[in-house]
Amino acid sequence: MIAPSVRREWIWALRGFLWLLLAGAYLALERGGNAYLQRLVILFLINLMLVVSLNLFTGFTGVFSLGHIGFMALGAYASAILTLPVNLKAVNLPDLPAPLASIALPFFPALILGGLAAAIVALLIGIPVLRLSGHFVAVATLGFLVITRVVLINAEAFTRGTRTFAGVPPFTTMGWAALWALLNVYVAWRLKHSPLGLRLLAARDDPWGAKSVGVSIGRMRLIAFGISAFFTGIAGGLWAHFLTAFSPNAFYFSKTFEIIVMMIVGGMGSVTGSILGTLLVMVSTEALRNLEPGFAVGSLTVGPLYGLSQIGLAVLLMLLMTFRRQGLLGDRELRLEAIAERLERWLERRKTAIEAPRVRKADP
Amino acid sequence: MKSISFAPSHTMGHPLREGAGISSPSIPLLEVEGLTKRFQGVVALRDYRLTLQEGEILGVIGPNGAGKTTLINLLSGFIRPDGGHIRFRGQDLTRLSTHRIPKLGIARTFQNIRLFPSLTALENVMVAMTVHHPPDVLSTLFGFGPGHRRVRMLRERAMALLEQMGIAHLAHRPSSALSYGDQRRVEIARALALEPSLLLLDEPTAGLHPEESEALIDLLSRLHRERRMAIVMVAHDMPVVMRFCPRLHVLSSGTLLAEGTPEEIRNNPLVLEAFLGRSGRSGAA
Repeated sequence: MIAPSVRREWIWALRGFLWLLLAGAYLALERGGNAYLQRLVILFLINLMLVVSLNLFTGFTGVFSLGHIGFMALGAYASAILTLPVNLKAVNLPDLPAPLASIALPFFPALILGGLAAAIVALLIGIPVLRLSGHFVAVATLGFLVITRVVLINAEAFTRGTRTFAGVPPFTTMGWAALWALLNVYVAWRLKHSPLGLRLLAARDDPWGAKSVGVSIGRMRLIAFGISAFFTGIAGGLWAHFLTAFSPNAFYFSKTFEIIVMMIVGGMGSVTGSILGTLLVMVSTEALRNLEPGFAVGSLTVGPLYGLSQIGLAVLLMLLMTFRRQGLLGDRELRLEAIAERLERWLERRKTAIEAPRVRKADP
Repeated sequence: MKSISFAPSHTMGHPLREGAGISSPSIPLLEVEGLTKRFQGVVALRDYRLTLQEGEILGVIGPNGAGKTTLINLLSGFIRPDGGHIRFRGQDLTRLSTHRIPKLGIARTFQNIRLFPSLTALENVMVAMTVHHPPDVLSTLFGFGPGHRRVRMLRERAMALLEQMGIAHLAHRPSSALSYGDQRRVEIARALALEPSLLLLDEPTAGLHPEESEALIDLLSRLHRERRMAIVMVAHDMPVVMRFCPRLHVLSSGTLLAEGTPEEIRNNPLVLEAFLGRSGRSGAA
């Protein structure tokens, strides 16, 4: 809750500090030119979008979606088909229908169209699927993931089937990724803290209670599903123009699992939790991945351990389910107001701690 | 789906004024005829009828399983009848989706309170206010425009309602952290936030101390005087019902056994036998 005791200046100071920190980190990375770190940051921002979007649906409505990576695939392929240079289209996608074969769009409109494609498909499947109750939605969206894969493999004229879709221009820079991730987080935050968000959470908390105040459960879920799919599609587009070559295999169970773990680690329904969860999971899997080729501790040499990062992810999930089922934050948020309040109280205590001995000395 | 009868309440932003003048005086607020509901062959309510005028208070009593909650669920559109019809200001409700009913001016509470536990008391009330002020996606996402300015207004009105219910000091607590009695008040505030012309209360005093229920009934009487909405209250707490409701319906095994003033009901031998006699609460009469 917003504590009225905290002075506004504190919050503004913290907010300014946070933005400066982010801007500084961004500039340092941009200028520093460490390619590995830059790639990691871009991947983090894209994963963050996937997690925040999934959370925007699953966390805010309480209904699990196992099909979100399907929206990512739609965004990736749709935007990549749109930006692929015309000469490459002639070689790689000779059977592409006429209007698509002769155009190559700039990055931004292609991304938007990719996101819209995902959102439209989400609305189309959402209308029948979201009427189901909780667990059945999870199964039905899993069905959607499988269908998406089958379609991608068989629509060879558009996707080259199982073969690698290559030659996508490397448009995704850190700046683009950061901008979209910021927008995504902002939208999720606004949605949660608006009247529409109240209705969403009401429908999640108690469907009967929600109906009694005129909230349509189906419509709430559909709105969240559409917004969520849009940003997931954008994330897919960013990812496609980051890797520049991919195949349908990239958009399946292992990616689905990865994103779900990140969401659950952070806490379902928490936007700031999504940031923490993505960060924690990526840092730990990246550390484990670096150990995979084998490593030495003193005289002890450990051979290659391929799959270590996957195992690490799974173990993390099991530990979490045992000890902290609600994830790091549950559905609460890390708030600047709360941090400012703590900081203020801590400083106050220090001040009294410094003054107190002086007073005591003066007493006798 | 559009009906003329309730259109005027939407033309102005907030239908604070009661339904007076919207429909001609000859049409009652609520008209129920032949209402029947079966659950897997068992009749929960049979051939129930009711005519309720604007601002009228009706108490529905009866032993457990008499069909009282079924009646509330039918009137609020949570379940569909197997027969009969319900007309609210002349409009048939039986085919409407549940979530469309509150917008017409029918609000309800639940026997086992159904608040939104992750929201604060204030937010619980605000959710209901959005019925007459639907949020639009753009102002939600980008935080400007008329929709955004409305949020402050909704917050203030919700606060005023909590104040009326005497629980303004609990506004920012999560509703799940409130005492049972306070949760009841939040739920009633939430129902009132719909600005109903018909309020359906399902056992509002269940689980409360005698003093608490006394206070709640006083509060409800005051709210009724101020807002003049019609109330249908289901209860089996006899002293409460006798005091609050000038007119009573007695249900037994799904049928309307008797109706009349508390005085008439008290002296009705059928009722004494079916309800008071069997439940052994002779002190209530």
